[in-house]
Amino acid sequence: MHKSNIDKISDFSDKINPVLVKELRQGMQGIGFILLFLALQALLCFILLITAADPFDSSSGSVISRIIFFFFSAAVLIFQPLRGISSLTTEIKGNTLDLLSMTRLNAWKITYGKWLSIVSQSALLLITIFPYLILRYFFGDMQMFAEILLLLTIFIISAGLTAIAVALSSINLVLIRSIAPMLAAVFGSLYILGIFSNSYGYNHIINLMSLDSSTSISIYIGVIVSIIYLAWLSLDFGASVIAPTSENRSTRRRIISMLFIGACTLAFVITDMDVTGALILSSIAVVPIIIISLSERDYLPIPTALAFTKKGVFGKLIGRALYPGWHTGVIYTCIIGIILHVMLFLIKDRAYSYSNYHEYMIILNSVLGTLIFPAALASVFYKKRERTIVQYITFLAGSIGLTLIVFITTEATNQDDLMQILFWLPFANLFILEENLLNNLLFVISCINIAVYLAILFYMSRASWKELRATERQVSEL
Amino acid sequence: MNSNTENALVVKNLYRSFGQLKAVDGISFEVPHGSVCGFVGANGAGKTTTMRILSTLDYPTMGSVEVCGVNVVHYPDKVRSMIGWMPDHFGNYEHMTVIEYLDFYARALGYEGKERHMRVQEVMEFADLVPLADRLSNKLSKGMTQRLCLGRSLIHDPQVLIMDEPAAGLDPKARVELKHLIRILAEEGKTIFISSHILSELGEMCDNLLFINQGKIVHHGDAESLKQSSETNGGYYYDIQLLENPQSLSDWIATSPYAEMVETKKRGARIRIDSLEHASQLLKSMIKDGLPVIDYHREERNLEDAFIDILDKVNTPPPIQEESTPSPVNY
Repeated sequence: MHKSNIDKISDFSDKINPVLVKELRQGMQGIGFILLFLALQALLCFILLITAADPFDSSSGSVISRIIFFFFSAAVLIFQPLRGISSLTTEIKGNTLDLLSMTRLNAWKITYGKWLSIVSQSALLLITIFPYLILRYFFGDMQMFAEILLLLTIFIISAGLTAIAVALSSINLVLIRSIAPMLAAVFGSLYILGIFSNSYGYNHIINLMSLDSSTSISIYIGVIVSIIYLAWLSLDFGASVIAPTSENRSTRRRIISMLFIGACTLAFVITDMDVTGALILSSIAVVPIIIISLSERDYLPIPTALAFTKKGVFGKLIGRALYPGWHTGVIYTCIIGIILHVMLFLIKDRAYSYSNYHEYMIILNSVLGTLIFPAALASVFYKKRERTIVQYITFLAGSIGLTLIVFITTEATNQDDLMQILFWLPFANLFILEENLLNNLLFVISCINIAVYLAILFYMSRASWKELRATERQVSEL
Repeated sequence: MNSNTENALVVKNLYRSFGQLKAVDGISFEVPHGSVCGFVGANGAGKTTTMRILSTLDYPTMGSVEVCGVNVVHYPDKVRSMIGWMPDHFGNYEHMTVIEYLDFYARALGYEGKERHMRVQEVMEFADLVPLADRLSNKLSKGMTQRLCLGRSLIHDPQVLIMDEPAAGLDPKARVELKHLIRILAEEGKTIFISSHILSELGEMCDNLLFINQGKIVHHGDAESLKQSSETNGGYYYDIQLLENPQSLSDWIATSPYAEMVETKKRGARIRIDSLEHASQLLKSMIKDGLPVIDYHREERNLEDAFIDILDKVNTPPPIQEESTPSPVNY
C-alpha cells in the first residue's frame, strides 16, 4: 500500500478498543465536541479576565471557583452525557450492528467503546480546567483538596450519567431514549445553577468534599462505588439489548450484582449504618438489576444451557436463578428480597422500636412489590409477545402515576380514606404508610401483594419454564 | 461439532417463526464447497431470514444449520470466523473515509500491525477501492458502496460468502463489476451463497439455484435443469415463418394432436409442441406437406419464466378429489 495510506490507519495503537478508535476518528471530523470545547475555553477565559480586573474584591476567588464549576458541570454533566443518547441508536438504525456482530467485537466492547469515547472527551475537558484552577489559586481563599476532589467527583458522576445515556440509547421508545434524558438535563441544569449561583450551596458542597471525618469518607467511598456499579450495570444493559441472541450477558450481570448487593449488605451489617441509610442504598443497588432481570426475553441459548448442565443437578439448580429470561428473573428477585429481609432483620436493633422495624419491613415489601407488579402485568398482557423493558417501564410508570394522582387528590380533598382504595398497588402502600393508617394490616397487605404478584408471575411463566427444561434435555443429549 | 465437511452449508428441517408467521417452513438443502449457489424467491419468501440464520444473526425455531461442519447455534463465534456477510441494506458511518472504514473492521476482526495493513491493502486492491481511499464512506455511489461492503466482508478471508441481494439497485456497469468480482472469488474456491432478483445473472454465475416460496424450497438444481424442467412440463415454443399464406399454417396445426397455436403473426405463428420428439416429426411433416417455411427456431426459456412457472404451479390449488386422502407435498 502507498505509505501515506498506511499512515492514515496507523494513528492509533492496535491495543485500543476498535470502537473507541472509530468514535475518536469520527469525533475529530465532527463539529459537536469541538464547539463545546472552544465555547467552554472562551467563556472561562472571558470570565477570568473580567474578575481579574477587580482583584481587591475579597470574594472574587470563591466567585471564580463557582463560575468554573458551573461551566464545567454544565459541560460534563449535561452536554456530554446527552451526546450518548444517540450512540447505540445510530448503530441500530444504520443497520451496522449486524456487521459489528460478525467481528470479534462483542456487544460489551461496542457499548464500552461508545461510552469511553465520550468519557475520554470529558477527560479532555477536565484536563483543560486545571489551568483555570491554578489561576484561581492566586485569587486566594481556595480549599485546594476539596475543590480538586469536587472536580474529580463531577467527572466520575459525568461518566456515570454518560453510561446511563448510552444504555438508554439502546431502547426503542423515543420517550425513554431521548425525551426523558432531555427533561432530566433541563432539571439538572437548574439544579447545577441553584448550587453554584449562591455561596451557600457551593460552600455546603465544598464542606462535604473536605472529608473531615471517617463517616464522610465511608459515605464518599460508598457513593463512588455505587456510581461505578450503576455505570457498569447501565453499560451491560445497553450491551445486552444490542447483543445477538446467542450472547448471554445476563448470567454474569446477575452474579456481579448479587455479589455487590451481598457486599453492601455485609457492610451495612458490620458498620453502624442506620436502617434508613441501609434501605436507601440497598434500593439503589437492587432496583436496576431487578428491573433488568424481570424484563429480559426468555430465550436460553444452547451454549449457556451447556455451561450449566455440565455441572449436573447443582448447575441446573443455580440456572433457575441465573439463566437469562424474566422467568428466572422472578426467582433471582425472590433471592434478593430474602437477602434484604435478612439484612433488615440483622440491623433491626438500630430501629427506634419494634413498630419502627415493622414500618421498615412494609417499606421494603412495598419497594419489592413495586418492582414485581409491572412484571406481573406485562406477563398477563404481553404473554404472546417478546418481553421488552419498554413494556415494564410503561406499567411501572403507570402504577407510580396512578398513585401520585390519587395522593394529590387525597391531599386536595382531605379524604384520607381515598388512598386506601389503592391498597393492591405496592407503590401506594408507601403513601398509606405515610398517612400512618392501618399499620399492622398494611404489613399483611404488603405481604399478600407480593405473594399474589409472584403467584401470577410463576403461573404465567409455565411455558417459559417448559421451554427451558426442553432446552436442558436437548443439551443433555448432545 | 459435526464431521461432515463435504458441504460448506448444510441446512436440515429449518423452521423459523415470528409469532404466527412461518418465515421459514422446514427447508433442507446442502451447498458443496467451492460452489456458487443462487437463492431465489419473491419478497417475504424467507430468503433473508434463512441467510441471517446461516450468518448466526438469528436463531432457528427448529432444525439444524451447519457451516463447514460447525453448528451455527452451538458455535456461533467459530462460524462467524468462516463466513463473510453482505446484507441487503446497511448504513455507513458519517465522517469516516473508505480506508478508515476498512481499517476499523480489520481492527474489529483482531488484525494487528503489518497484518492489518496487509489485509486492508489486499481487499482495497481486490475491490478496486484504492482510488476511493480518502472518500467519505457515506458519500459513495451504490456501486462503490457495494464494493466497499464486499471488501469489508472479505477482510478475514472467509471460506463462505453470504450475499443478500448484492446487485439490488446497481446500474448495469456496477452490476458487471460486481459479477466479475464474484466470479474471481468463485475461481479462488470460495463458497458463495447469493440471493438476487436478477435471475439471468444468477443463471450465468451459479452452479446451483435454490428457489424458495412461502418459506419452502420449491426447486433445487442447476439453471439448465431448471429450464429443462420448466420446458418439459410446459412444452416447447417455436416461432415459424412462412414465405406466404400464413393461414395455411394455422389450418395445418389444427390437424395435429401434439401442437397448438399460441399466437398468429403477420408472416407465421408461435406454436407449442408437447415434446422434442414430436417437434422433430412435425417440422419434418410441415415441409413434406408443402408449407412454404422460410424460418423456424425454438424459443429459449429464461429463468424468470421458469421461476414464474414454478410459482404458478406451487400456488395453484390442487383439484378437489372426492374421497381421496390428502398426502403431504414433497418438493
